[in-house]
Amino acid sequence: MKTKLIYFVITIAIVMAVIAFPHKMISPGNLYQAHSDLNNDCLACHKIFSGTPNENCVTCHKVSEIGKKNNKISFHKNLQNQDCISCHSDHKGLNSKLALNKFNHILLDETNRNQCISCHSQPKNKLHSQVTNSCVSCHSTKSWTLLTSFDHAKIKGAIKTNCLACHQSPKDNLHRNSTTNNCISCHSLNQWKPSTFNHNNVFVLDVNHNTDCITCHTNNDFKTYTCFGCHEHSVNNIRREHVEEGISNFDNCVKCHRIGNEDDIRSNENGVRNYIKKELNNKNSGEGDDD
Amino acid sequence: MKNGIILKDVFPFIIWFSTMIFSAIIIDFILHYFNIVFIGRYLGYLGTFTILISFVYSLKKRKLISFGVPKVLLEYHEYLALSGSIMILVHAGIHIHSILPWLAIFILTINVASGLVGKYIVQQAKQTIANRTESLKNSGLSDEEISKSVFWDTITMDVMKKWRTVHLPITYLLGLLSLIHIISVILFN
Repeated sequence: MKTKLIYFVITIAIVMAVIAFPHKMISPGNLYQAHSDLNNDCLACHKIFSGTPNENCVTCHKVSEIGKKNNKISFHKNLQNQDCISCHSDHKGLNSKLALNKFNHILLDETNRNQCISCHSQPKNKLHSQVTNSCVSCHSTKSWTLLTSFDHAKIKGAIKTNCLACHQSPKDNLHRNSTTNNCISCHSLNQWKPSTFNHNNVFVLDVNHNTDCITCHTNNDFKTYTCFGCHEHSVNNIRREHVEEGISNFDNCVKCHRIGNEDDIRSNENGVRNYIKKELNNKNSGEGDDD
Repeated sequence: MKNGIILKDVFPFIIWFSTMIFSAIIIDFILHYFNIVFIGRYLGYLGTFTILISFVYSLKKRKLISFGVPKVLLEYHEYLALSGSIMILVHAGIHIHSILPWLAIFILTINVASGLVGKYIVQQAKQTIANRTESLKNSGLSDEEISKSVFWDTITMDVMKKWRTVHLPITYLLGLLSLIHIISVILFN
């Protein structure tokens, strides 16, 4: 009998505590700040056995007024099914954004779903001023930045060849000193990475030249280079070898040598022959002057 | 002797209890990893149902049902209650913000611990009764009669009675808290 009485007292005590302090006892989380005065008044939003009916929400929040006060997008009046808790839950803490589910555009009626600018304003930048207002051709309703593949053919006029009108030049050493704005020489319109720059078109990085960029491009300046950054090439031995051939100007190595093989100058053979011929003529005329 | 007790009694208890906690953590991690957290909600229903099924043994012990072999039902009771508890732990996760669910989870773990102690007491009792079994055999009883007699002897020992005075109130409290949780979900969801 005594045991049953203890069970009874415990049961009543717990049930009374739940009824008196529902927020402390059974609430699945704090209401957000604007609702915090409703903490212990569950029935202000909930209806017994009926969930959270919209009527309880719109008593305070007029659908046509939502968004107006804070100058936000007023789209609530365009929703097909105005079921508040399909987007707005609560009991997720004091920050109201935590209780906001991701907006699903399918909730909009078809007319407004296809007219993005009825809710969103068009960005005020050079790119968007050149394109049509057919947002869905580049953006999806799932994410603004989720681009499948931007078709540059959509850009019309002079801006089409001015990459920097929309893109920013990377701030790395390679791009910092670039003044050409000729992005297309290394990058394609389909993707930024990987670049289409092929070092072999300038100089072939063979097994003997498989080294760090800074060995040749000192100070990370990719517009200049030196071949004297390694032990193999010194100014003296290069000068000696070139003077033997009658070449006095050997500052710009890749003008003749596009590959590590010193005998292979085929890549610019005519240019090299002309260069040597010019060098020899200069030398001969110089010797004639002495006479 | 001291090492013997730790290996034989304390170690299995820690293993079983840890298994429950780590299983719940691993399942919870898997649900989050595959972004299927919603399954945790349904594990609450399944876990509750599993624990309720395990109470068939309690009905048998109180002779409220006639079917089933007590020894087998006790084994089911142990495994089903443990499995159900794991599901409930996953269901609760760590996303608890109010007193009653915290209290329910705390009582759940206490209840499992209490159950494991009961399991240990039964094992000890089995050893004690082994000698009695031998004497019953000598008296000419059939194997089935001996099995029945020995089983009820085991769980009606004094120590089991004392243990039950702890285990039952804990179970009642767990049932009460779970019931309030379920009712509040039905009322407000």
